[in-house]
Amino acid sequence: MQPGLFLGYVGLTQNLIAAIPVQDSTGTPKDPPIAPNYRIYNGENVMSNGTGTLAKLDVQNVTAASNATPIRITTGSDHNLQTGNRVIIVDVLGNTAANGEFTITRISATEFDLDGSVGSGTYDSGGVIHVAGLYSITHNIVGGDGFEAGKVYDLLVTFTISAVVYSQVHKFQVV
Amino acid sequence: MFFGRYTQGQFVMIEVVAVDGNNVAFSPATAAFFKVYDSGGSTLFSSLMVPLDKSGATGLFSFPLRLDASYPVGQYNVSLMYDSFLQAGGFEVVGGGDQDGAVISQHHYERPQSANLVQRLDSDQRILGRNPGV
Repeated sequence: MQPGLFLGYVGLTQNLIAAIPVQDSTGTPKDPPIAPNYRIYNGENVMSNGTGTLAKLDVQNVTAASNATPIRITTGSDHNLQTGNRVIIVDVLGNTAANGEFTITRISATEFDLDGSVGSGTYDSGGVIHVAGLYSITHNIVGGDGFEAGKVYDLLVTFTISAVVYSQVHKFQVV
Repeated sequence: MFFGRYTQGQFVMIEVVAVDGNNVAFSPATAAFFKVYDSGGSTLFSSLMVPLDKSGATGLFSFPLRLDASYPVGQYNVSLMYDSFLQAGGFEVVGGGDQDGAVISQHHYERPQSANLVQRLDSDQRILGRNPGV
């Protein structure tokens, strides 16, 4: 599991923008059932308006899911994924066996196979692909919430996977 | 991992050590792979990475990312993937610099009609100037 990160520098009135990896105890990237939460501390207290929820990063749409073994996913544009990457697919209608967590095998820029999958029907519509465990934070840093230039703040990220609560602490500096 | 603050034209050295769930470095089955996202989450660039120092380091990969015009001032996220594992990072582009990069070599030659200076930039562009002043 990746240890705490230094997320970089952010100016007052700017957005803190950072990618946060979410993994279980084996280091496997996971999408928790409930999106990870975050809290920002100044070393003593939670900052005013300093809480929120992480958003999924790297999300794209499915345009086809073959009724085959394994299921071949087609995307409308370059999916930019490689063999071995883990993805979470939801909301596929028709070929619902394409929904779930998979390791992929890249076929082309717009196709990849879901390892170990078996098609369950003809693809109807829908489907969203997310790179497993890849989240991001966007938080507006304003002086009115108590942020001060020159200070380093802690970002606590918490999430639950299979009834186990995980926590990460990252840092950033306001400039 | 914060890769640092840069200006346009500079190179960001994207690096990752492939580690397993116990933070032990290993050589993945395929090369590590990274993607760069803008502040809106759109993918700007992606590439496989090159193994670095194979005789001295295990699982170390790198890629020199040149900050051209695709990278205006702002913050960028990076995902790094190898086998089924994931790491994340980011970098910031600050004001200043030139999207074409810095001069890395130049050649001066004289002609009857003018003095000439040919410069090569690290974006591989060539610039021709005449009668350079001091």
